[in-house]
Amino acid sequence: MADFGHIAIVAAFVIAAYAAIAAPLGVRLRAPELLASAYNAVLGVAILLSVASATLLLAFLTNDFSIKYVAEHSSREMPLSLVAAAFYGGQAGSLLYWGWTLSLFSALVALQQRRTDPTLMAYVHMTLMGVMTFFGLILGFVASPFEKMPVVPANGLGLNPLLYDLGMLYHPPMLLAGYMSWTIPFAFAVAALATGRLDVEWIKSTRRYALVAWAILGIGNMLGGWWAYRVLGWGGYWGWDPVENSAIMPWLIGTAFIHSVMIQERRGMLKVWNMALVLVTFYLAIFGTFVVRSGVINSVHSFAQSAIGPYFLGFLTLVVASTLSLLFWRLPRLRSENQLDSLLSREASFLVNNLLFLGLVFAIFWGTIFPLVSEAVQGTKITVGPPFFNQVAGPILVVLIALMGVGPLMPWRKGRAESLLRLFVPPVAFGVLVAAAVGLVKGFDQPKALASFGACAFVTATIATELFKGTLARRRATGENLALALGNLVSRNNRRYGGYVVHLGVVMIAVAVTASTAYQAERSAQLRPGESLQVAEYRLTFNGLRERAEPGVRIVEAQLAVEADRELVGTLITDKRFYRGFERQPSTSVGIRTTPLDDLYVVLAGWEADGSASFMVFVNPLVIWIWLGGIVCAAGALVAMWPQARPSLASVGAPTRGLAVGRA
Amino acid sequence: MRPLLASCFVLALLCAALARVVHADALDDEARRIAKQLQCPVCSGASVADSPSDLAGQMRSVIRAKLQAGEREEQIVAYFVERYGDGVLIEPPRRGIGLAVWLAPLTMLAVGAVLLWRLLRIWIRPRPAVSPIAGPSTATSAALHPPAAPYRNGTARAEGSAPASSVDRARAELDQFRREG
Repeated sequence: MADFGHIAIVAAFVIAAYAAIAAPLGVRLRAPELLASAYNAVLGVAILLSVASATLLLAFLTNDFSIKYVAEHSSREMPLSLVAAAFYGGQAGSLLYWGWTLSLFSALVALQQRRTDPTLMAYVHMTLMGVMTFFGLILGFVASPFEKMPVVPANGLGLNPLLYDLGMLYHPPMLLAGYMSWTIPFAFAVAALATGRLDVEWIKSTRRYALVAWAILGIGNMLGGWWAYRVLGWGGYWGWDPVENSAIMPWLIGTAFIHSVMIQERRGMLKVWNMALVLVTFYLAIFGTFVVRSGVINSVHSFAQSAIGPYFLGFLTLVVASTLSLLFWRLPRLRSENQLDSLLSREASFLVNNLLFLGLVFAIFWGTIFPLVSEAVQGTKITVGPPFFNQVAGPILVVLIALMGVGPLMPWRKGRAESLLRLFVPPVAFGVLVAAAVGLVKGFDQPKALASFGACAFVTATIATELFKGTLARRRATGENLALALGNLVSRNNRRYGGYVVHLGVVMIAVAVTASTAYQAERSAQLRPGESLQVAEYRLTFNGLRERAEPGVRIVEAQLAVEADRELVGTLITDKRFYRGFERQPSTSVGIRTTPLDDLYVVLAGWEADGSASFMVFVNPLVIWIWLGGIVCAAGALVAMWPQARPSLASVGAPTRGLAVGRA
Repeated sequence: MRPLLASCFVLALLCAALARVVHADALDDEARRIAKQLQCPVCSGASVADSPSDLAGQMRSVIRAKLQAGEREEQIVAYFVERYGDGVLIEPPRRGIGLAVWLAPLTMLAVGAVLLWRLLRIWIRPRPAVSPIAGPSTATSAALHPPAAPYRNGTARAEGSAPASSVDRARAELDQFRREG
């Protein structure tokens, strides 16, 4: 079985390398047969890697411990539901997953874009298969998931207990797929540079792929936070860990890209800039994969450490050097075809948005690599922990949120100061009012939190006004009733209003993150059975410890009765699990009681021989709204990327009934 | 009775064995506040307060002992900095090389802002009025007057003639806008 999988990977490597050479050669030699064969090769690689992945999955299902990766990441006791988690729980498996999904996406793009200009697609295929070749090399010869054990063990080592969680089934695949899917916009960018067709066309075909990649990576980040919150047991969902930072950075640059690309679509400006943003997003995605899977920067996430580091660094250097030279070579052709008209314009607000996103990513990147920098420069490893990121990123994020309310109200090209002033006074007033109201209730000692709430209220007001005005205008124009008018408004302008929905989701997340950061209550205490602890409005009574065993694991659990306002509202169980083979690394199950207002979050920290136990208790306000906000964002992204059913896109350039009133 | 006794026995054994492994020391809130400022020296990405490692456990005990001995928060933090160096602080110190981590992002942001400002000044040149609708693009004007057309051939589209009835016009414009996505 091991040989079978290995052969599939090596074959995929060879075919990918062939396609990466055949595609551009076909353009050079004007040989359509070569292009067709490269196209077939793309599909072939997808099939081969699917076979390899299925083989590894089968090896897990049949407990084939002759394969080292299977022996190291599963055991006979491991429940079937965790097979998928074991699949990408280690380095080789997660890289196989990366390569496999890339091969599937490449095939999908090839099929979808069959009718697109073959020259452009040849270079797209070249880029995709070039990246694929690198992963084939790693999977086939450096970190093979099909490496064999010298002696077949009777049982496997088992999965890292941190990964024994349902969240593991969703969070790593989403994150890895998110990294991977930025390869597609990157490939289109490279193809545009290589062919010299740098007009609006490549942007059009890239925009939707970029949106998909942005959404997948965003969901991956969100699920990562959800997993960390439930499993790591320190009371939070985001620890500014190097792995988390590397996952959020490409997403942030990608966010800057999907905004500034609109300027290029509308105005033919910022061509170099957008190109650079796509390239940088891809660099950061590769860097992220590398950080997650090499352990170069110490982090709780880097379970796997091995020799792939130099390969990734070499690959990244090659990619950066070659694409940047391409970019410089094409600089003359990337001249802007328009000029900016005014500071009071949507273009200008997008540029400020870009500046802030870049500054934010620089701060995160700098903080992430600084321990290595200080070690290299001075020999001492300076720690850059969450306080740094909170203090630097927090204010930038608040300004970015406020900008979400400014940008959409700004007209393209040029706005008039008086009318803009009229437009902005009510929502700004609403924001100030909300900030003041929260301050009166909660106190004014956390000005940053109040600023954040104010910004969120301001954005909400602008979005609500936009929706309201748009719906009324549509009703006036068409005579539809309100609900229908709203529905049609959104579905006919799905990009604009999908964007608004995403913004609303971001506001929900921002409110919840601000509240749970600024107003978290925390206590720790050692309790004897029968003793109680008061945290915020909750009173916890320790009912005692219990020990039980499940296959492959011993569990020590503590039960606590929860009272809110002197009324018993339920019991919470929190436990420590000692998995066989990982006894010194117990995992924690957090007891969480969620209400719309707050989460009661109880962690069993330890116990004494006399039956007393110590607990860490957190009351985290509004946390559930983070996850709900994430769902709203995903829904908004879906609305924005939903294809318009009408075949009228083709007629955009055609003259239509002499109607251009209002189009400046 | 036998199974119950056995399980009690196992529980007692487990407790005795694991009391060391799991950090069984309860931190009172002040000790925890101090421990949260310190990075666990042997593990990555976890504070002394949250780390399950033995060393972090010992450090928590030291913090508690020092608190009981009446030492103040700054003294205790300084003690750990002296022993383990600046790297033990979770928040990088605002001095020496630690200053670089704080200043670089601010500098970059400031440089970026200046560059953007100068770029905008260069880009924005006074030009003849182009825009028939220069007013704010509210949702109303988004629904009725589509925003600037997708960029075409580098020239702004001129104004066209308006149809007779205002309802017709609005309908037609909605159609037009719909087409443009």
